[in-house]
Amino acid sequence: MMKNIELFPREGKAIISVNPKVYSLEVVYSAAYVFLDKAYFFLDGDPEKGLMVAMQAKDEKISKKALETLAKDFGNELVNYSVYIAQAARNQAVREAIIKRALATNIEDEYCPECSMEKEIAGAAKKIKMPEEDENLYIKDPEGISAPWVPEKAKGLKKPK
Amino acid sequence: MQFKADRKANSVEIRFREGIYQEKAVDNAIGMLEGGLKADKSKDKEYFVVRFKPRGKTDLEGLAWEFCNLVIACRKGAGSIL
Repeated sequence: MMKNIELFPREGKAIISVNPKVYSLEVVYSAAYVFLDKAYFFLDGDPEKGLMVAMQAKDEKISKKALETLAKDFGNELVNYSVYIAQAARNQAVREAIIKRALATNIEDEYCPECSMEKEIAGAAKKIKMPEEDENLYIKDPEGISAPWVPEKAKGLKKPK
Repeated sequence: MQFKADRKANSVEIRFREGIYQEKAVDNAIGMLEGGLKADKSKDKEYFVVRFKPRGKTDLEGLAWEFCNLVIACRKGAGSIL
C-alpha cells in the first residue's frame, strides 16, 4: 500500500496526503474537479506543510480495489495538471505573442495588407480629375445604344426563326 | 474530519480552512443553495464555519459532502486559471 493513500473500504473513503511543495493547491483543486461526479472531496490540512484530501466515493458499494483505483487515478490527475501548468508556463510567451498579434490586427496603425491596399485605392481615387458640373457630359451615341428599347422599335423587324 | 453532524438538533457543521478554501467560493456555494435550504457562515480562527439546519429528516453527512463538492465547483469559477 502506498504511504500517501489511506483506504477505509467500509466507509468507501480514502484519505490522500499531498505535499503542497510538489502539487500546488490549484493542481489539487483541478484534479478534484475532474472527479466530482465519482466522489465527494474535502480538503484540509496546512497549505504550507501538507494537504489532506478526503475522498468519499459516491458509489456506496464500492469495492476496496475500485476505491484504490479511484485514489490512484486522482494521483494521476495531479500529475496531469502539474504537467499542464509547467507546459503553460513554458508556452506563456508564445501564447501572449499570438494573442497580441490577433488583437493588433484591429489597430489601423499596425501593418495590415488589406488596410494598406484600401488606403492606396482611396489615394488613387482622389487623384482622378472629375469633370465640373458645367462641363458638357454628353457623349456621342450614333448607334442609339443609350436610348431605352421600346416594343415600337421592333415594328417592321423580322422575327428570328 | 471537519464535519459535525448533530442528529438531535438536525444540523451539520462544516469547517473550511481559510488558506485552502476561498471565502468567495464558500459564499457563492451558499448563494447557490436551493429548496429552502439555508446556511449560516461564521469565522472561527482559521476556519469558515458553515452550519446547515435542513427541514425534516435528511442525510446530514451526505448534505455536507454535497456542499463540499459545490464549493470546489464554485472555486473553478472564482479566479481559477485551470
